[in-house]
Amino acid sequence: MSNVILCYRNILENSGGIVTVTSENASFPKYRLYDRDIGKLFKGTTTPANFYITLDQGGTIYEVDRLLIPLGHNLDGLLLKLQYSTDNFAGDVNDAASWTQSDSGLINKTFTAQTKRYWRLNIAAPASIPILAEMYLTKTYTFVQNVAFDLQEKKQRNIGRRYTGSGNPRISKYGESKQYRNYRINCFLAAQKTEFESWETLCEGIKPVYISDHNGSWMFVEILNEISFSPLSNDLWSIGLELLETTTGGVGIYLLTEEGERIIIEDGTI
Amino acid sequence: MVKNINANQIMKLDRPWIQPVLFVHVLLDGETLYFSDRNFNFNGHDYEDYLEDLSGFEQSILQFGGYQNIKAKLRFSNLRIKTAMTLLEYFDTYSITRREMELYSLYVDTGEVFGSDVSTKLLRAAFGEIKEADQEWFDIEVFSILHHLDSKNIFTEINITNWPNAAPNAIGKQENIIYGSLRDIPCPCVQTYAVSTLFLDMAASGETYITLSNVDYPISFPSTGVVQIGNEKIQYSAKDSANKRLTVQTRAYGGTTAAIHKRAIPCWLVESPVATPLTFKYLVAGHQMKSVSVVYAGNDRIRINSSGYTVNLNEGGKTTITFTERQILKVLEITHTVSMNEGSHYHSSPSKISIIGNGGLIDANASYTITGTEPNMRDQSDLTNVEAWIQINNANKLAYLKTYFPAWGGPTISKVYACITHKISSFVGGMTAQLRDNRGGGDNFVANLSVTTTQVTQKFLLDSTIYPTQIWVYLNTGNPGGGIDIYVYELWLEVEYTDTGASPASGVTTTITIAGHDAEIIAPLILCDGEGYKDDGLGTYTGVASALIENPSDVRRHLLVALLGRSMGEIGDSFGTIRTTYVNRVAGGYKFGVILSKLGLKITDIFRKFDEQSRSNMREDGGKFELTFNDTASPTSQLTIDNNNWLEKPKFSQTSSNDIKNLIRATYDIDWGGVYQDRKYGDYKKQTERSNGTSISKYGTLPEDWEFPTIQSQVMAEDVADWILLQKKDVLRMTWLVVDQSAAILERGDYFTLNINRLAAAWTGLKWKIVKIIPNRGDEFSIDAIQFIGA
Repeated sequence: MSNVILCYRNILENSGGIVTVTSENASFPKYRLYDRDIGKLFKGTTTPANFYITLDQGGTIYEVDRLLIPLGHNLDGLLLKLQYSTDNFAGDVNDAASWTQSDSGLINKTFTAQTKRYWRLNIAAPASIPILAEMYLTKTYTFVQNVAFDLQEKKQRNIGRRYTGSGNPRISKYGESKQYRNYRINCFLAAQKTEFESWETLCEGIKPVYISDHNGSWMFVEILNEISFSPLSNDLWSIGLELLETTTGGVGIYLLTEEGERIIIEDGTI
Repeated sequence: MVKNINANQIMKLDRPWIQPVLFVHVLLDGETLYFSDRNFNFNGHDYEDYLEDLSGFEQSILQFGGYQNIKAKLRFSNLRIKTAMTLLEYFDTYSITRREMELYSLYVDTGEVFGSDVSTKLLRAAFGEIKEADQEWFDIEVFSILHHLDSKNIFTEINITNWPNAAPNAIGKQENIIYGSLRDIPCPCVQTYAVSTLFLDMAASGETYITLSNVDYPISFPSTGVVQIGNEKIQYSAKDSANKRLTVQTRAYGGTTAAIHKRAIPCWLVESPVATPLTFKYLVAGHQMKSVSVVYAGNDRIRINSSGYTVNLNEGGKTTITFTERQILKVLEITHTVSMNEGSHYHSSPSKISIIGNGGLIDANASYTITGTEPNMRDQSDLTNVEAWIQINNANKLAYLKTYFPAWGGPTISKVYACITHKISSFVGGMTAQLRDNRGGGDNFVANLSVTTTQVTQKFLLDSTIYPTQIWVYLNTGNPGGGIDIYVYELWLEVEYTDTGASPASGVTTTITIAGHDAEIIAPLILCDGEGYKDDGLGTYTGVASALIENPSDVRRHLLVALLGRSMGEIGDSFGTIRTTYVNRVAGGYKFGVILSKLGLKITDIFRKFDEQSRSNMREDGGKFELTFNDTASPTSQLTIDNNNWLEKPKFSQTSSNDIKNLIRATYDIDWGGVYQDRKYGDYKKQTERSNGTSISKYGTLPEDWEFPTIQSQVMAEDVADWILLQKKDVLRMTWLVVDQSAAILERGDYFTLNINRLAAAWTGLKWKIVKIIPNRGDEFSIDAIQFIGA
């Protein structure tokens, strides 16, 4: 069983940071690179020799060691470089990672951890206008104490099932199924507790994050439960995590009751 | 007519499992937003999940025509978009209110990539107002594109900006929009000038002033000009508003003859400035018409000689009639001198002859010639001059010569005689000539006139002592074939009255009034016969260049495209199909003849009445306007519904027993020029009744009145009334059920067959007409339907 990995901070979101792009389609703006909605796209408007997505972290500089770009991009076949700098690339230009993308799936690149103010993704000679759903430049946090075995792993469907008068089924799929994980992590130290608290502070229970689950599968998840630390001893804690994948299709199909309340359809039941 | 659904989608609908996706195109000014409840790329567009709920678009049609509004709203996620922090903020800048949207369905297989657009456009609608909003989401009302058309203004009001000299009784009226061939089209006066009535008598000479009832209201006389009183024109040099008078400068102006003028007769401006004759204009329609044929004046609809006016079918895109003289009934004053001690016959003179210019009093296309002069018409001593010579050469026309008399002001009447001197060359076919009068406000037969090749004077004793103010010669021409000459030399009344014994002889002056014509002094009523909108040179709407647009399908199409600004691409093929149905349905075909504003100023009201009066339903489906005709022939069933495809079993009810009607009384051929235009009933020229004996036997006679203002033909009125009777002569079965995706092909107005066991044997296998359908999420369809009834 793989250790669960958590990536909860995207430094493009830094409050003092500035993101610039070579060109921007007003209908698909650059803020979508860090809006934690992996269904909505950023699009440029040009195909220059080098298309840059540049970040100036500003005053608060975080260390990062991983780049995640969800599927939905059109970077397959392109030479990509993740670069950092101390002088906004005036003279100091360093490649943290450089690769030729070979598919249109999730881009997940690790590199030597760096604490630099300036970062950029260099898309070399794009044939088409670059499209990305998210550029998630983050720090990897690997659970020191992995999740317990009494975990729950399932796919949550979004379907409706009814029957005709003669009993024939009529099954409707309203949206993509989503991965669900229910984890318990026992016996971790105060240092890890601080990390969880930092996650909670940053994401406030509303922002999805990237995790690599116990199977080593990467997914973008929302946390369904409130984080509650249970002390096991003076310096040992346990925590439960209930995670639901957010898909490119959003979080589900809602129906409205006559009173206007929203009811989520789950597993075909209302 | 089922939905046009791509084969790719039909295949998916024909399986027990489906993946429906609904999405919308929000059509803002200058841009389109592609929204759904999920993010995906399809047909070159990135659809984004700004919508939380797309279900429940309820669309209905009405049983007898028309449609209800969509009952639906879209729920938007109030997310960041483009440069705006929230979608609501974006719509503050780029308004969505009254903008349009299109709703599509798409059935997909997981991972499927489409090579072409296979989606189905379900409807085109418009956004209303925000209903509920909070930080997370907001609802916006959605309404039918047909109701959206209510926001379009196709009517132009007559105002003083466009028509600075419009008559007060025309201000605020709608410019006519006319379809089809109409009689008696009321034409508002859009160019007239000052007019009033004499406040003081005027002698033939020596008068310093023309003292009037008003000089500044409702239309002000200019400070100088020329007025006409009777047949005399008078130039004036100043206006005294305080004393309401004009200063006489020149009597008998312009070659006219100075005369005595009595109080209360009209005085109107004819030149201003001096030597600049004024013209008087009437607006027939706010658009170019195909033709204007005959023009009438006054409530008596007196035909005007065509030399007296000019029709302009395209005066700045409008249709007008221009007169060089004020079209007013010339009121001729008469003083009756009654010798109080004479006690025998009184030879009454007519007070006026209805005359327009030099025209006569002939109605409806009869060819005529008037000779003689007005004084001769009132001169009983002269029986040699032909006062009116009516030559009849058209079939099936009516003609009449009407003579007016002042109210009797003398002693008590004992007898009244209607008198005529005439000569009639011959009668042919069923032709008759009658003398008639208006005693009691009616149309009273007095006597038949006989053929006489020599002049004859006849005197007819009336059967009451009521004194008529009008007598006239009424001609029912039948089918004379031409060549009939009617000569009328004189028309007069003779009165016997009680000798009062008063001595010496004293005069009684009968006051001449212009009762019944007061309203016409400023802008006399002008009507005309004509044909409304014509097709363009390409025959875009009718298929024939410049043809009259009168087929109900063409009228709707023209209204939608030419007036309401919809595109021809939105007109469904059904318009062509139903057009043919209209042509062949009854002898002469279905035709509309209508002044649009008289049906209502709301577009939906107009279309509803169109539907009611053509036994049709127009609706919007799939982004197109579609038309159905309610036939009595067994319709094609588009789907068989039974327990293999209903998800909720049918529930049944019946139409209200209170709505049973078995005697349909329909009035049609409205009198557009009638003075009671807005009054229900009594303003129609024709009426028909259709009844069902079986229903009457069961329930007794249950009448219902319908008005068909757009219909002029009896066979069409009967055909429409028959449909209503068919629907109302008994209760009809109704059903409600929920059907699986197999119903995705159905539209309102379509028929389906419903097989159901253990209800009632006769109820299974019936055909039902869909009046309401709700495509919930695209995978189940709530349907309301009503039983089809054949002839």
